[in-house]
Amino acid sequence: MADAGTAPAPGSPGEAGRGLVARWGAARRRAQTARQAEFTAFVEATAPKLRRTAYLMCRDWHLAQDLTQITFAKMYAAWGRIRRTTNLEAYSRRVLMNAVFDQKKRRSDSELVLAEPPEVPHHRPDGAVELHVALLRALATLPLRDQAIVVLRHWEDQSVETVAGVLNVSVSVVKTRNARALSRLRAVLGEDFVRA
Amino acid sequence: MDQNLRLLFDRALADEPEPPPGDLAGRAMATDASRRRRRHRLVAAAAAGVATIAALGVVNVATPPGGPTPPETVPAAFATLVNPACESPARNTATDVSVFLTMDVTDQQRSAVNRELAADPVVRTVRFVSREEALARFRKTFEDKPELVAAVKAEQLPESFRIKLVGRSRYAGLAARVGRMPGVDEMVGSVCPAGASVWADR
Repeated sequence: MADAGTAPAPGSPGEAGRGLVARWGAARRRAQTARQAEFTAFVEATAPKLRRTAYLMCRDWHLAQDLTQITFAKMYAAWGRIRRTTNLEAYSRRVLMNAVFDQKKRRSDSELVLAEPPEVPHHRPDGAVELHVALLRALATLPLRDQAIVVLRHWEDQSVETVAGVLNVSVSVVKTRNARALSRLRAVLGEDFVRA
Repeated sequence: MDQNLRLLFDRALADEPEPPPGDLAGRAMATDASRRRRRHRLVAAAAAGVATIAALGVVNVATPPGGPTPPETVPAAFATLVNPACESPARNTATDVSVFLTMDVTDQQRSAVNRELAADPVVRTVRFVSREEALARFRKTFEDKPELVAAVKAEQLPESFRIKLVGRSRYAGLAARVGRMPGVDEMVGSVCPAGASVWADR
């Protein structure tokens, strides 16, 4: 705040201001402690699911962790305003998806990083395992926004309206994109596994 | 809902590793603290003109309050005085945009920018903010820090246009059209939740 290393000449307005700044600072710190406790509780409740959603979007657990961290950092920056007024779950998804889109854009020259199919698990050759791997691979071929729609709708079970809000598109866009994405997944996985 | 799809997603998540040790909340708060420190330093250095520009490590004890400030940091400092609910600066999409004019903008340039903004179909509302109005805002924001307020003069703050866009996805196009006009110093886009404004008073 009143910058360390500042040494105004005695009697300058800086000195008078300093007492006020100190009092203001003390009151702020008290409020901040309460905010931090609340934020920590929110993070603990939200993090596991958010990280999994992030993983389904990027198919890399390290990146998922980073994206989750970015999401929480951004949310904390706005915490004073959003903590009471906003649907925090939808808000966190929105921040996360923006982080995913940003990430993708930054790495657009190396698209493979995100589109990379998941590693095939070493020792389970049965069909069921193959199928979920196939799903993630097929998902990776969809446009990123469609991936987001599928993950939010069909893994998180969010309503069409919530997804529309998270991605800032209209309800009808969510519906049509979702239908199109599902038919593409169906083509890869077979009718039984993707009923619209 | 599609049970099978959900089941497959669940299975795909079955190999989830233990989350790495580390405190997500703590780190988020630490990131924010350092961001705030940077911001405060910027405001203090630019607005107060009282002393040290800590970021540069330049100690300048002799500068009297209200002394000349590096003009390029003032718009930057001013740009941070925004509603914290908004994501700002936003990169590619924005609901609210501030167009800061250069400190030596001419009347002609200003009205050219104004005409361009008023005619642009992606602009819903546009409002001009004079140096005096900017100063009034600055005073209000920092009313608890009289020594900052005392040090800032209207001439040190840039004029700006405050714009609300019809759709957030239209920001990139507008930035490309207006950002390069003469007299425009910097455009700062923000994404605000519905109903909020980036210039809402704190």
